[in-house]
Amino acid sequence: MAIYDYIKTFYGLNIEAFDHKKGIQNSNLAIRLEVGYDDAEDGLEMLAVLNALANDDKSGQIRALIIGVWQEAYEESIQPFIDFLVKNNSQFTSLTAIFFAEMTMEDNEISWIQQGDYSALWAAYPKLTHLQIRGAEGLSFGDIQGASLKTLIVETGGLAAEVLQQIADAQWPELEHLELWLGDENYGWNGSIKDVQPLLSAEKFPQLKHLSLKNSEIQDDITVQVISSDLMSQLSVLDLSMGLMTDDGAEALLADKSKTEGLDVLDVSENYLSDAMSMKLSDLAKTVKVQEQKIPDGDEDDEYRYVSVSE
Amino acid sequence: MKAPVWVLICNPENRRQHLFSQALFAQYAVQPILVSYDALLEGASVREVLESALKSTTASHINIKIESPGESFLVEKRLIQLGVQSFSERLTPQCAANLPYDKGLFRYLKEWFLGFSDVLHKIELFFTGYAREKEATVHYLNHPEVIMQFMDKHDCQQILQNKGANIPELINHCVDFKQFEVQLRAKKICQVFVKARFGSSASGVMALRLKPNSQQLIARTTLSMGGRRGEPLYNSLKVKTYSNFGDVAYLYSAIMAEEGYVERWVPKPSLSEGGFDFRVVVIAGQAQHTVARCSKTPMSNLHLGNLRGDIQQHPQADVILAAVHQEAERVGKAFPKAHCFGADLNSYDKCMTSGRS
Repeated sequence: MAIYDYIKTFYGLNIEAFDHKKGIQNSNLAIRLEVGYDDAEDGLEMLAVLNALANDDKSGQIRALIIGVWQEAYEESIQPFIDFLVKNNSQFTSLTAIFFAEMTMEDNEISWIQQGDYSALWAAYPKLTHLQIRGAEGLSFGDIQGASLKTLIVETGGLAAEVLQQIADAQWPELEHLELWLGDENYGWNGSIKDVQPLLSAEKFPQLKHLSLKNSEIQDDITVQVISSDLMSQLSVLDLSMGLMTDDGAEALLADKSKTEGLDVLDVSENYLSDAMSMKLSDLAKTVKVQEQKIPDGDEDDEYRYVSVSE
Repeated sequence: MKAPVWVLICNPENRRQHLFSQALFAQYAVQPILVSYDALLEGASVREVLESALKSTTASHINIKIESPGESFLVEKRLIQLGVQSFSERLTPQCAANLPYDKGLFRYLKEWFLGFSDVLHKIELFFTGYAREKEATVHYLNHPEVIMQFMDKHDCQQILQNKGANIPELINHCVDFKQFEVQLRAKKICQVFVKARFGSSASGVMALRLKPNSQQLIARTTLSMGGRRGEPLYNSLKVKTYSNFGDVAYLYSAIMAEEGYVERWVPKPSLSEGGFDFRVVVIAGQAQHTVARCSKTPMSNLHLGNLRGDIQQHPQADVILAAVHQEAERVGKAFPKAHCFGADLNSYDKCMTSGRS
């Protein structure tokens, strides 16, 4: 599997595909930049598009920005575009939401997206409330000063433990939505449950309502740890989907039903649960998502299980 | 107007026969003369079977529609047996006669193609003679020659290229995968389609991507190898992903064994349902029917569970459709003996033909 669809809204806004020749049409929409196949063939580069955006009369009004595919995205890093936004932060005074590298499988493999170092972003955009990142190769958050962030989403085919450590080391007084796709060890995941545990703390995330720890090889371990953490009482959405959760891991959810009582949504879709287990889970929250359970490849001697998004 | 006589060469049990016969009856209140592939391949000569089918006909004008011989294992086996008569390097006539039914097994596309070509050739010979003897006119919906060109993907792309149609660039390749990979990297070509030469649909198609400055590669294909190299491959309705070099090399060699060829993979633009391309039905040179096919994978064949998309969602729908229709009609001009066919087009602003059926 992989990601095949572009998002249809971002930060609650409809999306305008930015045309660098025409400029921003409606600054109330999320603005999406992209250098697609034909534009790249014609020699267009993302920095030129960013320049056009920064010099637009309306650049100071846009609230939400999406960076899509750029030229040679298999090998060229996103770093110059992060640096550009940092350097030109005075042009983007209203910017509060950014999605870095929204690419589909048609554009690039998620594990091949050349991510960058975001350590300078925090000081440049102290009012940022929504940060979303796709891809993990080369990803670093540095010393996070994310006091204002309400949403952090990191979608990867394999996330390095070092990045989890950076998140765990920071303070998150306002964070309401944390979503981490941990991924596959062949594509960058190098951690263990010990790297996840420091994140499961109500003290660290006093405002957290939505927790997604998903697309993980260790989905069973995560399930066991999350359900016994002190975050459970404050969550309204718990998303453990797209991973390798089996009936063994899911048993932890059944052990004490009072833990999940307060949840509006429990998402365990796209795992490896039996029909019987899916049935048993179905009354644990107001909405329980169990659809699209996966079936192992191979035969009984040699079963292969995969997270939903890895390559 | 006198109702035309139609000869339909087909697998009579197949829905294609039923649908065409119904349409013909609705329009002209006539039934086609059915000639089954089974009969044509059974033992009596093609000439005898066709003579017998036409013996009560006095019409001076005959229309012929040659349907796909697909979806019948018996016919598939007989076509392979026939093909083995001219190419027996990897299958003896005895083995061909004893091929067991094995649903979805990827095998003997070349033998099948040679067998099918042989039948088409004999059909054409018969009708040419028939027209001369009976002073009749014979009209093919799609001429046997053009059907052979359509079933040979590589031949088809070269014809299109020679006629000035936009096709994805054909890439030089070699049989050894390691060597091929080195060639691609040297030329900085990062993504290609590897396709089996013969047949239709997405059978034996692999979308291959190489990561620059690394050894990584990812292939998506309708071929399934069930976890182990060396074993037979099956056509899968689910697109499979492979990233192990040895696995990809094995898949590549299997496609090359069916005279595989390589073309550049041009990414598809997107609708909300996923990347899309077009199937345009061209009838008598005119683009008559267009379906936007949305795909969650690099293969947008509708039978792989993909969706019909609403092209009107696209802000430049009119411009895209005009370009797509123009290109489809250009494809029609490249094949003047094809009067009813589907052209597959990728609609990036340099509209490209990626296939035909």
